[in-house]
Amino acid sequence: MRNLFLFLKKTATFFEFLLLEIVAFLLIINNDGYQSNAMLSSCNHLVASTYRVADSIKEYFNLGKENLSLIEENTRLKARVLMLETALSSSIQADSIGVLKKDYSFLSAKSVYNTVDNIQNYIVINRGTEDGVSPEMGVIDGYGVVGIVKTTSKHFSLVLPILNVQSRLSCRVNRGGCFGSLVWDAKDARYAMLEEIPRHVKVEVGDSVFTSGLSSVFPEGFLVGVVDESFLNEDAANHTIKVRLACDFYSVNYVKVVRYDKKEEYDTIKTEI
Amino acid sequence: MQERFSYILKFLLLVLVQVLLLDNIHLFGAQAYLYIMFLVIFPISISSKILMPISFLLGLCVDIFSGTYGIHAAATTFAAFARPFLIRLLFPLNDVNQIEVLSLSKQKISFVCFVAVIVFLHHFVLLMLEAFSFNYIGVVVGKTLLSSIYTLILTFCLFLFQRK
Repeated sequence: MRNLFLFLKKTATFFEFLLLEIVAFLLIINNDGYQSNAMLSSCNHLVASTYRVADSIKEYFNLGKENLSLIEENTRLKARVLMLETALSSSIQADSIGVLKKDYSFLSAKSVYNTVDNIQNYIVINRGTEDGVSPEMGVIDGYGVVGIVKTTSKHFSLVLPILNVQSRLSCRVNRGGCFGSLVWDAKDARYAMLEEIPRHVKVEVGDSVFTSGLSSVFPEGFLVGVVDESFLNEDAANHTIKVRLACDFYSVNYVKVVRYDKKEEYDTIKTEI
Repeated sequence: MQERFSYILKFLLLVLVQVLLLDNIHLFGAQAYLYIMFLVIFPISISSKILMPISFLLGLCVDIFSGTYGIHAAATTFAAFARPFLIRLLFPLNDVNQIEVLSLSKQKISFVCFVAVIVFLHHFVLLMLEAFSFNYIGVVVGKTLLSSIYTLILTFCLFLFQRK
């Protein structure tokens, strides 16, 4: 008995170490039970508020750059409005306007927390359920697709960006081209890989990659990136395509949440399958 | 009591510097994790039974801010567990019994080795847990080396600064 106590006394430190590590691993493994861990997530109010204060200070350093990019976006949008107005006025039949009917609406938001260099990166934005954000909504910025909303709290949302090895985004090469999945290989924050494009399809460097519109997350035709390199191995069934992402994840700041107004209807009909 | 308060202050300061400053500075795909310094400045006379829960808490604080659930906590606890073994291995025995806090001024080589090993161990466990798979082992080792270099540069800058 005495020996047992001596043994326990000697190994107490080790057991304490084991216990703490088990707690830590339980936390890591429960990562998927995201909602139950909301206490610990970046959506936590105290943490998010701290980041908001830090971000409001940081904001001042980027004002010049931010203004410039907003002006750029404005110019691009104005050019587009002009183009569409001309197209609209030249269309003779009044019914054809119905085609342009709006199914998607946008909600502007600002990122308050953003990681780029991890293997699992996340972005936290300052809009939550109270602003009408819900999981599975798309997020874009002035240049291209950013990611998909994963979880929401009252005032904040967690976005799973393309730069996360868990993320898969359905894309097509050129408008109306072939579908594939865009995944990230954890190597470089400027590039992602496009998979599942069959070998009979012609892919050239410089082709644009757009969202496919095959899910209710993004409408068709949002720019994701540009083909940077494309290989075709002798015995491979698919192309290996490296895509240069349109969105600069190092400077993601103001974003837009894409809301599909018929999402519920779409999801209901999909469950019928 | 005053000393205890100073360690609480250092704890908070390291967490804040980590999450508000260092988490935003990325160079060539890696970043420094300076909060592990706490294990270096902590008195060696205090048993690791007490240091381990504190380290767990330190890691958990950083985890909560980065939304990473326990990876910092696990890595920091591991480093705290390894600390007494490293000290016994690297420092002469009579020194360990005499001194209260490790410092750069007395045992130069031992101290540098100790900091380098503990930083590398912590970073490797941390980044390995973040990847949570052996598929990215190349990326993880590269990142560990780079991050360790950043952390070591910052650590020694602080220690040199402190001496004056």
